[in-house]
Amino acid sequence: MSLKKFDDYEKGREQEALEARLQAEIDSLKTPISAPHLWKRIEAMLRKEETAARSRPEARTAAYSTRPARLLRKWFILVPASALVLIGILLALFLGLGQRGTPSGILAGDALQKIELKEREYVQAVDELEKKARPKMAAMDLEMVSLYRDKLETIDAQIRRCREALASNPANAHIRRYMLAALQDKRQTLAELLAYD
Amino acid sequence: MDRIEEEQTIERCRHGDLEAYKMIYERYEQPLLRTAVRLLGRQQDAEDAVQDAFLKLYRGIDSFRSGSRFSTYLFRILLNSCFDILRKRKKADFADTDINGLPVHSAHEVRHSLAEAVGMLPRQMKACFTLYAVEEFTHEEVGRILGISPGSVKANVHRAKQKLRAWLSASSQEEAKT
Repeated sequence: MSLKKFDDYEKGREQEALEARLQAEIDSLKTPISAPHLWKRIEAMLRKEETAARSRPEARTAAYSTRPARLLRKWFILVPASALVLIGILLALFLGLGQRGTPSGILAGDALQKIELKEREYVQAVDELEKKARPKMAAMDLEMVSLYRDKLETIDAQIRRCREALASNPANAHIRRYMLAALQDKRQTLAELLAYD
Repeated sequence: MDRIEEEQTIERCRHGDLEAYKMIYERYEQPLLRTAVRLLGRQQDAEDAVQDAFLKLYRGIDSFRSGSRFSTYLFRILLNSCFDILRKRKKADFADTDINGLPVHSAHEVRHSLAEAVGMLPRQMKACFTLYAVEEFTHEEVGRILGISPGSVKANVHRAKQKLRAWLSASSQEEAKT
Protein backbone atom coordinates (compact mmCIF):
# COMPACT_ATOMS: atom_id res chain seq x y z
CA MET A 1 0.00 0.00 0.00
CA SER A 2 1.48 3.40 -0.96
CA LEU A 3 1.97 6.03 1.74
CA LYS A 4 -0.75 8.29 0.26
CA LYS A 5 -3.24 5.44 0.15
CA PHE A 6 -2.37 4.52 3.72
CA ASP A 7 -2.93 8.17 4.82
CA ASP A 8 -6.30 8.24 3.06
CA TYR A 9 -7.26 4.96 4.68
CA GLU A 10 -6.27 6.27 8.12
CA LYS A 11 -8.19 9.53 7.57
CA GLY A 12 -11.25 7.55 6.47
CA ARG A 13 -11.08 5.41 9.58
CA GLU A 14 -10.72 8.46 11.82
CA GLN A 15 -13.68 10.07 10.07
CA GLU A 16 -15.77 6.94 10.58
CA ALA A 17 -14.86 6.75 14.25
CA LEU A 18 -15.72 10.42 14.71
CA GLU A 19 -19.06 9.94 12.97
CA ALA A 20 -19.87 6.93 15.18
CA ARG A 21 -18.93 8.90 18.27
CA LEU A 22 -21.09 11.86 17.23
CA GLN A 23 -24.04 9.53 16.62
CA ALA A 24 -23.53 7.92 20.03
CA GLU A 25 -23.44 11.35 21.65
CA ILE A 26 -26.60 12.39 19.78
CA ASP A 27 -28.31 9.22 21.05
CA SER A 28 -27.26 10.12 24.57
CA LEU A 29 -29.17 13.40 24.22
CA LYS A 30 -32.35 11.30 24.19
CA THR A 31 -31.91 10.43 27.88
CA PRO A 32 -35.29 10.78 29.65
CA ILE A 33 -35.85 13.94 31.69
CA SER A 34 -37.71 13.59 34.94
CA ALA A 35 -40.44 16.15 35.58
CA PRO A 36 -42.73 14.41 38.09
CA HIS A 37 -44.93 17.40 38.90
CA LEU A 38 -45.30 18.88 35.45
CA TRP A 39 -48.58 17.21 34.49
CA LYS A 40 -50.15 18.25 37.81
CA ARG A 41 -49.19 21.87 37.05
CA ILE A 42 -50.57 21.64 33.52
CA GLU A 43 -53.77 19.97 34.70
CA ALA A 44 -54.35 22.64 37.35
CA MET A 45 -53.78 25.35 34.77
CA LEU A 46 -56.15 23.72 32.27
CA ARG A 47 -58.86 23.35 34.93
CA LYS A 48 -58.45 27.04 35.78
CA GLU A 49 -58.71 27.89 32.10
CA GLU A 50 -61.79 25.70 31.74
CA THR A 51 -63.51 27.45 34.65
CA ALA A 52 -62.58 30.85 33.27
CA ALA A 53 -63.85 29.89 29.78
CA ARG A 54 -67.16 28.68 31.23
CA SER A 55 -67.67 31.94 33.08
CA ARG A 56 -67.13 33.89 29.85
CA PRO A 57 -69.93 34.01 27.29
CA GLU A 58 -67.55 33.48 24.36
CA ALA A 59 -66.09 30.10 23.43
CA ARG A 60 -62.53 28.88 24.11
CA THR A 61 -61.51 29.63 20.55
CA ALA A 62 -62.61 33.23 20.90
CA ALA A 63 -60.43 33.56 24.00
CA TYR A 64 -57.52 32.26 21.99
CA SER A 65 -58.02 34.62 19.10
CA THR A 66 -58.08 37.70 21.32
CA ARG A 67 -54.57 37.10 22.68
CA PRO A 68 -52.40 40.12 21.80
CA ALA A 69 -49.70 38.18 19.92
CA ARG A 70 -52.28 36.37 17.78
CA LEU A 71 -54.19 39.53 17.18
CA LEU A 72 -51.04 41.39 16.15
CA ARG A 73 -50.09 38.57 13.83
CA LYS A 74 -53.54 38.54 12.22
CA TRP A 75 -53.44 42.31 11.78
CA PHE A 76 -50.04 42.04 10.22
CA ILE A 77 -51.65 40.02 7.43
CA LEU A 78 -55.18 41.36 7.37
CA VAL A 79 -54.42 45.10 7.27
CA PRO A 80 -52.16 44.99 4.19
CA ALA A 81 -54.44 42.44 2.51
CA SER A 82 -57.54 44.59 3.11
CA ALA A 83 -55.66 47.70 1.99
CA LEU A 84 -54.66 45.87 -1.17
CA VAL A 85 -58.24 44.87 -1.95
CA LEU A 86 -59.45 48.42 -1.29
CA ILE A 87 -56.73 49.95 -3.47
CA GLY A 88 -57.59 47.45 -6.20
CA ILE A 89 -61.29 48.35 -6.09
CA LEU A 90 -60.60 52.11 -6.00
CA LEU A 91 -58.14 51.89 -8.86
CA ALA A 92 -60.53 49.81 -10.87
CA LEU A 93 -63.36 52.25 -10.25
CA PHE A 94 -61.17 55.28 -11.00
CA LEU A 95 -59.77 53.85 -14.21
CA GLY A 96 -63.11 52.43 -15.21
CA LEU A 97 -64.64 55.93 -15.03
CA GLY A 98 -61.69 57.49 -16.84
CA GLN A 99 -61.73 55.11 -19.79
CA ARG A 100 -64.92 56.12 -21.53
CA GLY A 101 -63.60 55.12 -24.96
CA THR A 102 -63.69 51.40 -24.15
CA PRO A 103 -66.44 49.25 -22.67
CA SER A 104 -66.45 49.27 -18.85
CA GLY A 105 -63.52 47.32 -17.38
CA ILE A 106 -62.06 46.24 -20.74
CA LEU A 107 -58.60 47.48 -21.74
CA ALA A 108 -57.83 48.73 -25.24
CA GLY A 109 -54.91 47.10 -27.11
CA ASP A 110 -52.24 49.75 -26.33
CA ALA A 111 -53.31 50.11 -22.68
CA LEU A 112 -53.09 46.33 -22.29
CA GLN A 113 -49.58 46.33 -23.74
CA LYS A 114 -48.48 49.08 -21.34
CA ILE A 115 -49.85 47.21 -18.35
CA GLU A 116 -48.26 43.95 -19.46
CA LEU A 117 -44.92 45.74 -19.77
CA LYS A 118 -45.30 47.19 -16.27
CA GLU A 119 -46.21 43.76 -14.92
CA ARG A 120 -43.11 42.23 -16.48
CA GLU A 121 -40.97 44.93 -14.87
CA TYR A 122 -42.51 44.22 -11.47
CA VAL A 123 -42.15 40.46 -11.87
CA GLN A 124 -38.49 40.92 -12.77
CA ALA A 125 -37.87 43.21 -9.79
CA VAL A 126 -39.68 40.81 -7.46
CA ASP A 127 -37.65 37.82 -8.76
CA GLU A 128 -34.41 39.67 -8.13
CA LEU A 129 -35.48 40.71 -4.65
CA GLU A 130 -36.62 37.17 -3.86
CA LYS A 131 -33.18 35.83 -4.78
CA LYS A 132 -31.56 38.33 -2.41
CA ALA A 133 -34.12 37.72 0.33
CA ARG A 134 -33.67 33.91 0.50
CA PRO A 135 -30.26 33.88 2.27
CA LYS A 136 -31.37 36.76 4.47
CA MET A 137 -34.47 34.84 5.59
CA ALA A 138 -32.38 31.80 6.42
CA ALA A 139 -30.37 33.91 8.87
CA MET A 140 -33.28 35.88 10.34
CA ASP A 141 -35.13 35.47 13.61
CA LEU A 142 -37.70 32.67 13.24
CA GLU A 143 -40.63 34.76 14.43
CA MET A 144 -39.89 37.43 11.82
CA VAL A 145 -39.39 34.80 9.12
CA SER A 146 -42.76 33.35 9.99
CA LEU A 147 -44.46 36.77 9.81
CA TYR A 148 -42.90 37.68 6.47
CA ARG A 149 -43.57 34.22 5.08
CA ASP A 150 -47.26 34.44 6.01
CA LYS A 151 -47.55 37.86 4.41
CA LEU A 152 -45.74 36.81 1.25
CA GLU A 153 -47.87 33.69 0.98
CA THR A 154 -51.03 35.82 1.19
CA ILE A 155 -49.76 38.09 -1.59
CA ASP A 156 -48.65 35.09 -3.70
CA ALA A 157 -52.12 33.59 -3.37
CA GLN A 158 -53.62 36.88 -4.64
CA ILE A 159 -51.21 36.97 -7.57
CA ARG A 160 -52.06 33.35 -8.39
CA ARG A 161 -55.80 34.05 -8.33
CA CYS A 162 -55.29 37.07 -10.62
CA ARG A 163 -53.24 35.00 -13.07
CA GLU A 164 -55.93 32.33 -13.15
CA ALA A 165 -58.62 34.93 -13.80
CA LEU A 166 -56.50 36.69 -16.46
CA ALA A 167 -55.93 33.44 -18.32
CA SER A 168 -59.55 33.46 -19.42
CA ASN A 169 -60.02 37.23 -19.48
CA PRO A 170 -56.68 38.96 -20.25
CA ALA A 171 -58.11 42.42 -21.01
CA ASN A 172 -60.00 42.80 -17.73
CA ALA A 173 -58.77 46.13 -16.35
CA HIS A 174 -59.91 45.45 -12.77
CA ILE A 175 -57.95 42.24 -12.46
CA ARG A 176 -54.90 43.77 -14.14
CA ARG A 177 -54.86 46.67 -11.68
CA TYR A 178 -55.41 44.33 -8.77
CA MET A 179 -52.52 42.19 -9.94
CA LEU A 180 -50.24 45.22 -10.31
CA ALA A 181 -51.11 46.34 -6.79
CA ALA A 182 -50.29 42.84 -5.46
CA LEU A 183 -46.94 42.82 -7.27
CA GLN A 184 -46.19 46.28 -5.93
CA ASP A 185 -47.01 45.11 -2.42
CA LYS A 186 -44.78 42.07 -2.81
CA ARG A 187 -41.89 44.23 -4.02
CA GLN A 188 -42.35 46.55 -1.05
CA THR A 189 -42.54 43.66 1.43
CA LEU A 190 -39.35 42.09 0.06
CA ALA A 191 -37.58 45.45 0.16
CA GLU A 192 -38.68 45.85 3.81
CA LEU A 193 -37.39 42.36 4.58
CA LEU A 194 -34.02 43.14 3.02
CA ALA A 195 -33.75 46.35 5.02
CA TYR A 196 -34.62 44.56 8.29
CA ASP A 197 -31.71 44.32 10.77
CA MET B 1 -50.72 5.64 20.16
CA ASP B 2 -51.35 5.15 16.44
CA ARG B 3 -52.67 7.82 14.10
CA ILE B 4 -56.33 6.84 14.41
CA GLU B 5 -56.11 6.77 18.20
CA GLU B 6 -54.38 10.13 18.11
CA GLU B 7 -57.15 11.64 15.97
CA GLN B 8 -59.76 10.29 18.36
CA THR B 9 -57.83 11.75 21.30
CA ILE B 10 -57.61 15.13 19.55
CA GLU B 11 -61.36 15.02 18.94
CA ARG B 12 -61.84 14.48 22.68
CA CYS B 13 -59.48 17.38 23.36
CA ARG B 14 -61.70 19.56 21.16
CA HIS B 15 -64.53 18.81 23.58
CA GLY B 16 -62.37 19.89 26.53
CA ASP B 17 -61.68 16.36 27.86
CA LEU B 18 -58.70 16.75 30.22
CA GLU B 19 -58.02 13.00 30.23
CA ALA B 20 -57.37 13.27 26.49
CA TYR B 21 -54.90 16.10 27.13
CA LYS B 22 -53.18 13.84 29.64
CA MET B 23 -52.85 11.15 26.96
CA ILE B 24 -51.29 13.70 24.60
CA TYR B 25 -48.96 14.79 27.39
CA GLU B 26 -47.87 11.23 28.13
CA ARG B 27 -47.25 10.58 24.44
CA TYR B 28 -45.17 13.72 23.84
CA GLU B 29 -43.78 14.60 27.29
CA GLN B 30 -40.20 13.47 26.67
CA PRO B 31 -39.65 14.84 23.14
CA LEU B 32 -41.22 18.16 24.16
CA LEU B 33 -39.15 18.45 27.32
CA ARG B 34 -35.93 17.40 25.58
CA THR B 35 -36.42 19.94 22.81
CA ALA B 36 -37.25 22.72 25.26
CA VAL B 37 -34.26 21.89 27.46
CA ARG B 38 -31.96 21.94 24.41
CA LEU B 39 -33.33 25.31 23.33
CA LEU B 40 -33.58 26.98 26.71
CA GLY B 41 -30.76 25.33 28.61
CA ARG B 42 -32.64 25.13 31.92
CA GLN B 43 -35.13 22.48 32.95
CA GLN B 44 -37.29 24.93 34.89
CA ASP B 45 -37.71 27.11 31.80
CA ALA B 46 -38.32 24.01 29.68
CA GLU B 47 -41.15 22.92 31.99
CA ASP B 48 -42.64 26.43 31.80
CA ALA B 49 -42.47 26.26 27.99
CA VAL B 50 -44.22 22.87 27.89
CA GLN B 51 -46.88 24.15 30.29
CA ASP B 52 -47.42 27.24 28.14
CA ALA B 53 -47.58 25.08 25.01
CA PHE B 54 -50.37 23.00 26.56
CA LEU B 55 -52.30 26.15 27.48
CA LYS B 56 -51.96 27.38 23.89
CA LEU B 57 -52.97 23.94 22.63
CA TYR B 58 -56.07 24.00 24.84
CA ARG B 59 -57.03 27.45 23.61
CA GLY B 60 -56.31 26.79 19.97
CA ILE B 61 -57.09 23.10 19.41
CA ASP B 62 -60.00 24.05 17.11
CA SER B 63 -57.52 25.59 14.67
CA PHE B 64 -55.78 22.23 14.20
CA ARG B 65 -56.88 20.70 10.90
CA SER B 66 -57.46 16.95 10.83
CA GLY B 67 -55.20 15.32 8.29
CA SER B 68 -52.18 17.43 9.26
CA ARG B 69 -49.51 15.87 11.43
CA PHE B 70 -50.31 16.67 15.04
CA SER B 71 -46.72 16.42 16.29
CA THR B 72 -45.65 19.14 13.83
CA TYR B 73 -48.47 21.36 15.10
CA LEU B 74 -47.62 20.72 18.76
CA PHE B 75 -43.91 21.34 18.28
CA ARG B 76 -44.63 24.56 16.44
CA ILE B 77 -46.56 25.76 19.49
CA LEU B 78 -43.74 24.62 21.78
CA LEU B 79 -41.09 26.43 19.74
CA ASN B 80 -43.13 29.64 19.90
CA SER B 81 -43.35 29.27 23.68
CA CYS B 82 -39.59 28.72 23.88
CA PHE B 83 -38.91 31.81 21.77
CA ASP B 84 -41.26 33.84 23.99
CA ILE B 85 -39.22 32.76 27.02
CA LEU B 86 -35.93 33.54 25.28
CA ARG B 87 -37.22 36.96 24.34
CA LYS B 88 -38.23 37.64 27.92
CA ARG B 89 -34.88 36.50 29.20
CA LYS B 90 -32.98 39.05 27.12
CA LYS B 91 -29.68 37.33 27.66
CA ALA B 92 -27.83 37.87 24.44
CA ASP B 93 -24.87 35.81 25.59
CA PHE B 94 -26.95 32.62 25.70
CA ALA B 95 -28.38 32.23 22.23
CA ASP B 96 -25.62 33.27 19.91
CA THR B 97 -22.40 32.36 21.64
CA ASP B 98 -19.97 30.87 19.13
CA ILE B 99 -19.31 27.19 19.68
CA ASN B 100 -15.71 27.69 18.55
CA GLY B 101 -15.15 29.63 21.74
CA LEU B 102 -16.04 26.66 23.97
CA PRO B 103 -13.33 25.22 26.19
CA VAL B 104 -12.17 21.69 25.40
CA HIS B 105 -13.28 19.11 27.99
CA SER B 106 -11.85 15.75 28.96
CA ALA B 107 -13.55 12.51 27.87
CA HIS B 108 -15.62 11.89 30.99
CA GLU B 109 -17.16 15.32 30.60
CA VAL B 110 -18.05 14.84 26.94
CA ARG B 111 -21.66 13.79 27.38
CA HIS B 112 -22.49 16.75 29.54
CA SER B 113 -20.44 19.05 27.35
CA LEU B 114 -21.92 17.90 24.05
CA ALA B 115 -25.31 18.93 25.39
CA GLU B 116 -23.71 22.23 26.35
CA ALA B 117 -22.12 22.50 22.92
CA VAL B 118 -25.53 22.03 21.29
CA GLY B 119 -26.85 24.71 23.62
CA MET B 120 -24.20 27.12 22.36
CA LEU B 121 -25.19 26.78 18.70
CA PRO B 122 -27.05 29.74 17.18
CA ARG B 123 -30.77 29.56 17.87
CA GLN B 124 -31.99 28.47 14.44
CA MET B 125 -29.19 25.94 13.99
CA LYS B 126 -29.87 24.51 17.44
CA ALA B 127 -33.60 24.16 16.72
CA CYS B 128 -32.97 22.49 13.35
CA PHE B 129 -30.37 20.12 14.79
CA THR B 130 -32.46 19.13 17.82
CA LEU B 131 -35.64 18.51 15.85
CA TYR B 132 -33.91 16.63 13.02
CA ALA B 133 -31.05 14.74 14.65
CA VAL B 134 -32.45 14.14 18.14
CA GLU B 135 -36.22 14.07 17.68
CA GLU B 136 -36.02 12.52 14.19
CA PHE B 137 -38.40 14.78 12.31
CA THR B 138 -37.83 14.97 8.55
CA HIS B 139 -36.32 18.09 6.93
CA GLU B 140 -39.78 18.98 5.59
CA GLU B 141 -41.41 18.62 9.00
CA VAL B 142 -38.74 20.73 10.69
CA GLY B 143 -39.27 23.32 7.97
CA ARG B 144 -43.00 23.35 8.71
CA ILE B 145 -42.40 23.67 12.46
CA LEU B 146 -39.95 26.54 12.10
CA GLY B 147 -41.50 28.24 9.07
CA ILE B 148 -38.36 27.89 6.94
CA SER B 149 -37.55 25.90 3.78
CA PRO B 150 -36.36 22.25 3.94
CA GLY B 151 -33.17 23.38 2.18
CA SER B 152 -32.47 25.84 4.94
CA VAL B 153 -33.06 23.08 7.52
CA LYS B 154 -30.58 20.80 5.71
CA ALA B 155 -27.96 23.54 5.64
CA ASN B 156 -28.43 24.30 9.34
CA VAL B 157 -28.21 20.63 10.36
CA HIS B 158 -25.12 20.18 8.20
CA ARG B 159 -23.40 23.21 9.76
CA ALA B 160 -24.39 22.11 13.27
CA LYS B 161 -22.90 18.64 12.70
CA GLN B 162 -19.73 20.16 11.29
CA LYS B 163 -19.31 22.30 14.40
CA LEU B 164 -20.03 19.41 16.75
CA ARG B 165 -17.65 17.10 14.86
CA ALA B 166 -14.92 19.73 15.11
CA TRP B 167 -15.60 20.09 18.79
CA LEU B 168 -15.53 16.31 19.39
CA SER B 169 -12.34 15.98 17.38
CA ALA B 170 -10.68 18.71 19.45
CA SER B 171 -11.74 17.08 22.69
CA SER B 172 -10.39 13.68 21.46
CA GLN B 173 -7.02 15.22 20.69
CA GLU B 174 -6.96 16.83 24.13
CA GLU B 175 -7.79 13.45 25.65
CA ALA B 176 -4.94 11.77 23.72
CA LYS B 177 -2.45 14.37 25.00
CA THR B 178 -3.40 13.76 28.64
